[in-house]
Amino acid sequence: MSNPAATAKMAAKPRKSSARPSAFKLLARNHLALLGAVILAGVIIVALITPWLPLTDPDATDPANRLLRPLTDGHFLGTDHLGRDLLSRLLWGTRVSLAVGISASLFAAVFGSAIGIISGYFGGRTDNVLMRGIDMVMAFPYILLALAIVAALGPGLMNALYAIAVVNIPFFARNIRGVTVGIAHREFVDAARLSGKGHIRILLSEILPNVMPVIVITMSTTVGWMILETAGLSFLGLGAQPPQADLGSMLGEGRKLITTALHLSAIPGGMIFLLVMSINLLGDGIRDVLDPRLKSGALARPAPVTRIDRSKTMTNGNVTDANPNINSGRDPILSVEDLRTEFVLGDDVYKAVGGVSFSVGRNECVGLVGESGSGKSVTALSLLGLVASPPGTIVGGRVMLEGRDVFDMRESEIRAIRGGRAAYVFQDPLSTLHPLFSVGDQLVEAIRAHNRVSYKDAWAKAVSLLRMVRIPNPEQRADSYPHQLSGGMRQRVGIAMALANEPELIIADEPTTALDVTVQAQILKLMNNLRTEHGTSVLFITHDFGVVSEICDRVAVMYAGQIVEMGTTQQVLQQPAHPYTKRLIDCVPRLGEAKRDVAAIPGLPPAVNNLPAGCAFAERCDRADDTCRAGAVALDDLGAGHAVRCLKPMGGEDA
Amino acid sequence: MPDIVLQTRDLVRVFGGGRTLFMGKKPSVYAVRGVDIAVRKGETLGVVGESGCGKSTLARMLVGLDRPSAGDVTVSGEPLNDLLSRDRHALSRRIQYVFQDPISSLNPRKLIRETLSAPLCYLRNLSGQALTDRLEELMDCVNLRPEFLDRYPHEFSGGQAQRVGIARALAAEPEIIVLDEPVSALDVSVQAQVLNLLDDLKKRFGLTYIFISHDLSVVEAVSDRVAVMYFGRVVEQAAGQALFVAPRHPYTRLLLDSAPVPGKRGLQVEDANAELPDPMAPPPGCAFAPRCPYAQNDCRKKVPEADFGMDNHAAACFHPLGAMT
Repeated sequence: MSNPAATAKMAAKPRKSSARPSAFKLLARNHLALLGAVILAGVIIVALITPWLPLTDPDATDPANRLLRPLTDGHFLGTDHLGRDLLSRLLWGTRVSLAVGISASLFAAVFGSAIGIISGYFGGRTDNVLMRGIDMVMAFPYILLALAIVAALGPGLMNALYAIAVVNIPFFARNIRGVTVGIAHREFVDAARLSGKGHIRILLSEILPNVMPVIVITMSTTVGWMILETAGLSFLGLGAQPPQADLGSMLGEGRKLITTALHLSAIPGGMIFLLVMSINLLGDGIRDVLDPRLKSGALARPAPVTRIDRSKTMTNGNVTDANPNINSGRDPILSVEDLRTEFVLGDDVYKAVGGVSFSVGRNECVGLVGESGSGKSVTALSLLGLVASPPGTIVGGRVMLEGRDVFDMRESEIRAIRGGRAAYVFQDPLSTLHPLFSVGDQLVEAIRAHNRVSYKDAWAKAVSLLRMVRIPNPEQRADSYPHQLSGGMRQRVGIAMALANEPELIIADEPTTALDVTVQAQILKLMNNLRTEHGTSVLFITHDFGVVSEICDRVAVMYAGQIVEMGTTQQVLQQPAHPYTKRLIDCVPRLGEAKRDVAAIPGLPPAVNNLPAGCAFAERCDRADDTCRAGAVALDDLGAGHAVRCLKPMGGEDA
Repeated sequence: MPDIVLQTRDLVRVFGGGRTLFMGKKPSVYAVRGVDIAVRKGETLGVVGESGCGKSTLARMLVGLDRPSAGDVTVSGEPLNDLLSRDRHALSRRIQYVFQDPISSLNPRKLIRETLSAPLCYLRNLSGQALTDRLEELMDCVNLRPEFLDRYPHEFSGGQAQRVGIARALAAEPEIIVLDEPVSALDVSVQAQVLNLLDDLKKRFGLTYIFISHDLSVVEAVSDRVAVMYFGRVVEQAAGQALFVAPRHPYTRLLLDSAPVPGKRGLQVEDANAELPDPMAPPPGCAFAPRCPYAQNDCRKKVPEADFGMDNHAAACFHPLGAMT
């Protein structure tokens, strides 16, 4: 099972429908949008079948029966000042207004999007010329522009349509240009260029499909507005010409008799309201469904603390490790016992962390090593309830911080610990620092969140923190904004912020992965020095065994949500007992050993929503047999603080 | 030298510059400040450097995605600019590119089949059954099953997506492939799979690679010759392991000392909080002088030059290591 073809086969298997709900389901979940859709569908159906309904001619005048009230015999909605049937005029008028509104939207969408895509894609001078033109159109009050167009072309429904469409082109062009600029610099556009595609092909087949959702969203929110504008022009007598009925002209005619026959204006007014409201509700719904950020739940407000529901796992017979507290014998400051964190997406349960136990001693640096998806970052975030909920839930385990279980604490207590006794350092300081505040202000905020000190004192402290992390000229640098600092300097600020309240524990999640090697070396040295000077404990999450050997006292290796091997850095690196650890160390080229063959690990890690019954590594392991696949494997103590989750651990002879 | 397939002479790329509407001068930044490299047929040239050293800009110029501001590139003796203006397809048939981020280099709304068909249709004029056969052959080359053709990029893992990226480059049947950090976005266990695949393909199709990376150990493992870039220039170049065994340029030394190695402790770290020079206001002399422990007065006045031949070991440094001791 170790040839590359098997790799492909293994990954080919779990092809099932997406765990996310379908677009229609998402839309139906939004009740207001559903209501809008139902009303709009009703109006459209009626408008479509109007020619076949048994209605009187909308333009047939009957002066004898003028201004009849609604619900009169033969005229359900009454008649207007010329005795024409209002119901018939309303339905025919709705038909016209809908047709004009939708065609104007389509017209504006096609031309506006074309301008937007072209100027966003080509940029430079093309962009300048097109966008300045659009700016000029936007600079006119829209109604004045529409009036000017109608005045030039003469009144009439078609001319009103053109006017409204032209007035709305800038709106589309601006929106679409913004999106296109973001897409035009993506790598797949360059790739298409190298594949021999010309500009027109790239625009039509690469860019357009990616901006389509935005075009649809923009359209769905503008159709209602267009209907209103059409009604507005007709109301002014510039749109539909008598005797043709449309909602705006009906309203205009009714206005003159508003004191004597209110229904003449109330009925078309009501229809306009109904139509525009339903379109807007539906449009909002469509926008929510198509917007990827809304889809992923990124805009849903996460709970301040991850949801904790330990009722399920407390009793069932999970394999708990005999000796969860293999540690260095140092007094543990953090002790994690059987931590389990799950994510529920649709019908799938992703067991990101499936029973992790470890401890960090005072002034110790423990490394948590694993590949992406191994659960190392989720473990780190779970410690202080920072996993976003929904969809994350902590379903089991305890996190003992100085003798107290974090998950039993109140929200306010957990908040006091975050950035206080335990602080995080993240991978990308550019996205964790606020771009609009100076780094000094952000440090002050971190200090004042936990201590009642004056701004001035906090600022002095902030400067001394920056000095502590060896930022040159800390007095001046405190006034800089994150974008003015280099990556290494930003990470120093991130570390300074973590140090702000003299934490006992720093949880560092890949703090050097985004940095250049020379800068990484500086940061590692800095963290090592701080640890010696301040007696801080560190939980260091990384994928790099080189970094581990540089900074960690002990290491835990994670695979598919579990710790598969734990021990001192020397034990794990010199005598790895788990085949995964061994292969993970061996598959990285090493400096100065270019002739060594790089042994790839075949296959991929298992998906954590579909874990095998036995050892998760068995499929990729050349030592595995049926016993490995039979059932869960417990963490086995090898003595001297070394533990491995393997039935056939590697001995000294083949390590 | 007839076997040189790609060569650059004093290649420069400046961003910005020009004049504003009111005739003020716009600031300009030199991303690449005069690079001479040459690649022989069938070899792998490794280019190492940290972020901001201009290695990606260099790569984009080599494949024609960006035009040099000065200097020239020749492909088998033909100037790249001539090739580009005559027929950009001809260039794409000779040089292809593999992107760093495998997922974002695939259009999220297109099937792999459509993505891979593009170079076959437009560069190799295949259609119908020939196209289908070639698609399956390509998938086989990169060890992916043909069913994967009818999937969308988001259904792939990083390593699989990078194989698709490699297949797309192979589709054009190029002589040279520029690999811009092809494994740095991948997990370590998958990195090795992709590196081995690249090695197999090179032997099988007689390809020439330009392998760009920030990772010294990866470059060492794959390259026949290595060039180290700093601040837009090549500062050291050598064949084989020479550069790793006995670096001449202090920057190379620093890079080697900074890379953590599993099982070893005690990195050599520079004392100062050294940073790259400000690209808006480059130092007059050697760009590395402000960080360099061996820098002397001459380093700060004049830019050191070096004669980078094909197989010699040369460093652009007035006081190279090894010479002093």
